[in-house]
Amino acid sequence: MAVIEAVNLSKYYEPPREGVFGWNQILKDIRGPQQTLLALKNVDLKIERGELFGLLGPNGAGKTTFCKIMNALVIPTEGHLYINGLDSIKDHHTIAAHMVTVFAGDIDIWNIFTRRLTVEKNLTFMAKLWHVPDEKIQERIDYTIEVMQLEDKRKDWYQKLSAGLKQRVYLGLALVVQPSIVVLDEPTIHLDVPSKRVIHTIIQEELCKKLGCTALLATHNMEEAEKLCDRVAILNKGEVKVVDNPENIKGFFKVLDVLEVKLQGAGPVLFEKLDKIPGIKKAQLIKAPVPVLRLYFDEKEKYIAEIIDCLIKNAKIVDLRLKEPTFEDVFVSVVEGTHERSH
Amino acid sequence: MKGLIENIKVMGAFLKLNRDLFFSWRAESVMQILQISINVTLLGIFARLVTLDANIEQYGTATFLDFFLIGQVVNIMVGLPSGSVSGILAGRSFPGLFVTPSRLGFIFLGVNTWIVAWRLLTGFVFIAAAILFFDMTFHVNMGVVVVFAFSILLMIALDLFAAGFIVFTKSRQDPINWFLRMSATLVSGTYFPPENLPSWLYPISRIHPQTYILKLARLTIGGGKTLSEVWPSLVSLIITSIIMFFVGYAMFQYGFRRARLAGTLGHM
Repeated sequence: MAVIEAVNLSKYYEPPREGVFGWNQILKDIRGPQQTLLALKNVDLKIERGELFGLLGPNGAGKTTFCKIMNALVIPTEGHLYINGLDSIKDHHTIAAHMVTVFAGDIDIWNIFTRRLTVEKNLTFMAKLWHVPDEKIQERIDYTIEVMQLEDKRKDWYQKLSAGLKQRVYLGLALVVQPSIVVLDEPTIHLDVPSKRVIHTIIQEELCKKLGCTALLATHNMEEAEKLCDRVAILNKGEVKVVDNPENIKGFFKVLDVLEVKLQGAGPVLFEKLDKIPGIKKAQLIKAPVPVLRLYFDEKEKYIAEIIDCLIKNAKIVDLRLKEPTFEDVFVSVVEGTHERSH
Repeated sequence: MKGLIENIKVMGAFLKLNRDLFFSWRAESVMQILQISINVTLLGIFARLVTLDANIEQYGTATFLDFFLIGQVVNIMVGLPSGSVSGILAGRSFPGLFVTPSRLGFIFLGVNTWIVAWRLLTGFVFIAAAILFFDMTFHVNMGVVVVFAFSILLMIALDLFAAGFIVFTKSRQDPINWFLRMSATLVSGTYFPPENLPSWLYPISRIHPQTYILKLARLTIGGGKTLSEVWPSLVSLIITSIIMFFVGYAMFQYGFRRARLAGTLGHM
């Protein structure tokens, strides 16, 4: 049985108000909520025990709505989300005992930590909210503080911590509670590279390998999803476009090849001639410091010679690279709808 | 049973957290204690200096001093639930608390435990000072207990209603508690008998729940009336409290569900 299962899950929100006052608005209020803004559409997903599952999508794709439905903060318009076979809305309290969610992107908005209390006291309080047995609390806090490399911050007030350390403490909540499910909504957003690495190691090594948690990672960071996740669902405009492991997804879609050329002396004539080559689907000129032309094209064998010939004749090539499609390219092509299944 | 014990432990954790927070800022703790002392002294002196040409006897209190001081005691006690649910629901930390396995009712109780304990302590200090230094008459009997119990229930009901309203409208404003607090001070008879109000304000006093709470409290605390003696007047308070509790709870549930449908919990 899947640990997390979404069945035909849809969520529509009320559209933004056109104004606070006015007859139209009053009439709309009287008629009741008009739920027409799509957040999730017929989502079907199954996440198995022990998986580190990525929910990957651009801003507004519906990732946070999915996480909020998991926590009963949002009631879906249609469909159900089951966690360990229980309905996420009706059985919220039973589910919550085995689940920790880190809404890290909203850390300063939904801050459940008390600013004028020490890191240790905050974690102790959280452990009690999750009904961690008294005799295990101190042992788990010591372990968390060690793993999180927060030894010298243990007695510091929470408000004195940097954003990266606050995020570490928030994630530390999962180590203190040791739930079977961890939901991570943009856990590394706004963090610098070293802080991201610490968070990635904790997710992979401690939460998933050591504690055996099933983890759902909602992110728009492709590198993070590719590096950490066993499987990924690409979500766009509320719809699941593909679910598989990152490697399979790369191979599953035939993505356009990318030719990246550093140029000098490129003029309108070059672009007119490139326009006439049918294999080129998209051209992107990045101007600084040396102009770089990125050409997305298909049927490499048929058009590559023609493209290079056109470039040589109409500009001075400083550098030229034919790039392998990355997971990021796949993601962009799926989101932009330019992908094509290879089988 | 295990769940109940765990949730009671959660309340204990909230109490400890808020106590630690209260004493984490020495200057603030000292100022709060200073504030109680100044309030007690000023209110007592004020009540001694002011006299009022009004029929105080109908309230069961012998002097205006007693009338005034008991009004203050009622204000402190009945004000305990004010903002206890609506304040938390309007706060940004609410979604973070909701996602824990702790029951919503125990979260509300837990968050309020320290503040209620502190306000109760403030109330007892005030009562003790009023008895010792200003000779306030203070009877304690079942009548007093029942009057306070149902008055507090009524205020909880009104706050639940206010919470439903706030979460429904996504407004940071709390007009229900604002009206109750403001009008309680002006028209319900905290400082002077409502009969002394201008005739156009008197009807507001008649519909304000605190008018009746104050009258019953003065009759029992100041006049020493027993439960059976105040029972006919008390029945309407009990019935109103119970009905309002269900109305308030229904409004809370409605507003809370609407907010979860709209995805606006924590958006206030």
